[in-house]
Amino acid sequence: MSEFARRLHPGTIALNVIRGAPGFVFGIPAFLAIARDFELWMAALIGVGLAAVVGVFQFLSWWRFTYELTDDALVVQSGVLSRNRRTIPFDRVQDVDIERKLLARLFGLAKVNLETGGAGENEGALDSVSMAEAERLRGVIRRRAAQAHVDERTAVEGEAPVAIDLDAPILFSMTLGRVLYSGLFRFSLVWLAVIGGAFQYLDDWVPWGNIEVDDLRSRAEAASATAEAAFVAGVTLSVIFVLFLLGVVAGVLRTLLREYGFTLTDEGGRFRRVRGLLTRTEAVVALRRVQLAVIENGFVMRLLGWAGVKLQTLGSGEKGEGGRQDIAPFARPEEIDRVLAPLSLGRADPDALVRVSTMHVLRMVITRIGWLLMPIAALVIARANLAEAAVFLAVLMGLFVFLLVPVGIVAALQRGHHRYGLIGRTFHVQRGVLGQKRWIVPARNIQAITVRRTWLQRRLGTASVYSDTAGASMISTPSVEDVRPGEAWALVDAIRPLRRVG
Amino acid sequence: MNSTPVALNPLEPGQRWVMLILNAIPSLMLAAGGFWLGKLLEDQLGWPWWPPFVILGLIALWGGTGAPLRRFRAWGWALADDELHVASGVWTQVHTIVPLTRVQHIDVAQGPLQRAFGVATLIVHTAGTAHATVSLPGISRATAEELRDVVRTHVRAEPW
Repeated sequence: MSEFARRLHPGTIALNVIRGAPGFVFGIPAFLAIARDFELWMAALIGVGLAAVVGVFQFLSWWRFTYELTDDALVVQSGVLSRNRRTIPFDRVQDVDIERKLLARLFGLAKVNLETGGAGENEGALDSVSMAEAERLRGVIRRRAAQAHVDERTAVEGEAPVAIDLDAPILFSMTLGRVLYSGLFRFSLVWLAVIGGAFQYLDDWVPWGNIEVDDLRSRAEAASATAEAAFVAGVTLSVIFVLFLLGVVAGVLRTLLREYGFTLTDEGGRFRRVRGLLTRTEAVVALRRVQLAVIENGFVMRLLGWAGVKLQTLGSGEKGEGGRQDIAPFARPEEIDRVLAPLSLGRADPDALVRVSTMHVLRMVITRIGWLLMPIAALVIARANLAEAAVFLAVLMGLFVFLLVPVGIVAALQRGHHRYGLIGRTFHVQRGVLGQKRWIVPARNIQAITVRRTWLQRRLGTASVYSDTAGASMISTPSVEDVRPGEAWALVDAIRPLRRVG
Repeated sequence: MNSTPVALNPLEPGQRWVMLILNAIPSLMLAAGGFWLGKLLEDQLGWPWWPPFVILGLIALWGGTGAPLRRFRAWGWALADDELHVASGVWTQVHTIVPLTRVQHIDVAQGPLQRAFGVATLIVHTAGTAHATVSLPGISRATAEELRDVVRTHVRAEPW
């Protein structure tokens, strides 16, 4: 089945020259400085010569880059001066995806990424080949990888080689309207900082900006003090309004770039997700590797009946996502049910879940503002002047009492929204008042499980249960805070046998 | 910790000495620091030299004897069916249960001090992230190797 070594698409040369162009532009001032000493034709000649050198170098690196599909591996050879030969065995390939950035799309090219178990990003990347060749490579490598996996496991999973299914049913997709609407909820303050920084930078270049404002202000001042106050308030309000508007626009734009044309298909044993406006990305999630699902939404989203679903998978996901995959960023509950059905996971009815102990409220209050009481004692001891100490005492006690009500209310709300339960073989945890997360974890995917009691928790008669899952970042580990120790152990004892049976 | 699901084994007595010796060094330094502080106060301010020494010395004494012994007693482990239980902690009590089928790999480590007292540390790695490594110090080398072999059979029995 071996075939001859192939080269990348010749268009790659042009693509790489254009990609390198921004770096080249920075060289222009330096070039002009030198070129002043020469005649015009000389300068032009040098320019053409430099361009030719770059072109020749790109040509050589294209010429020396070959790839070859052997029976059991992809062999990539590269390097102009020093040769580099890399062999990627098919049984290490987890998936093959095709990435098409804007520039590549203009040339009708695509980049083929081989995802292996390793952490390196570009372990196996063919940048770039024609779209047809990309499709062919993906088909061949996937088939052989699946074959290699089956051979290796001797049918432990009973998984047949997977071919690409073009008619796979669409599980979830988002229309342009839905994408734009969902962008309204992705209000981003990070962008405000960027815009603010840009304005500050531009300020030096736009001198009239401040003068006009100062001029208006002095005129207002001349009128009356009330007018000035109104002016300041007006300016502040409009600045806040403009910033808010910019934040909304930035959120919508970012969502549009990322989620445009979101389509999730079910290919039997694997989900395929395609999305993106300028950079079209494709990701495949093998259902066997899915560890848990998280349903997330903010307060307004929840009021309007929307939520997003993410899956946590083994191995690395898309760059920077750390094994977490969006499978429905903005969906209705029934759509979420449809997306979760192939995973045999389901949403839990909040009423079927149990609230944590009321002592959780007390512990939150103590850990958040309990420390305010400590300096009181310290100050009383340190101050020789008792009257002064009494004042400090009164102020800190006042602050404590003042904070007690809001902190207490927040803690009570958090306790009310923190629920957990084991339904069948699935462990459910819900947390968060405004931004809410609901974890759905098949009990057999729980790794280590830990019962923890701090000094304070033992005084309050509670315990916490932490369930560790694979492929997660620390933040997204589902935990149950503050239940009675008996309940904690009952939960652990219920989960333990479920992990044994595959 | 009440209602522990299984009976836990204590650590080997040798580990007690390992913990005492490891805690002795900072304790001695703390006591020496107390003596130095007392002398400094005596020189500069004419205060008696002994109160800082006595206060810090008592803390050091507790840190060098009572505290490590309490910590030693808090440790416990058990191998029940196909799970490894490890419990520890005096102020914050932690009880971790690792299903052996979820273990990725196992280390048996033994420092020079541990070697002198005939104990070893078993370190179990799972695929998880928050409690991905569970270490159990202070079991005998023979027990550690026995545990390792038991874990290995389970790791082999059920691949991903």
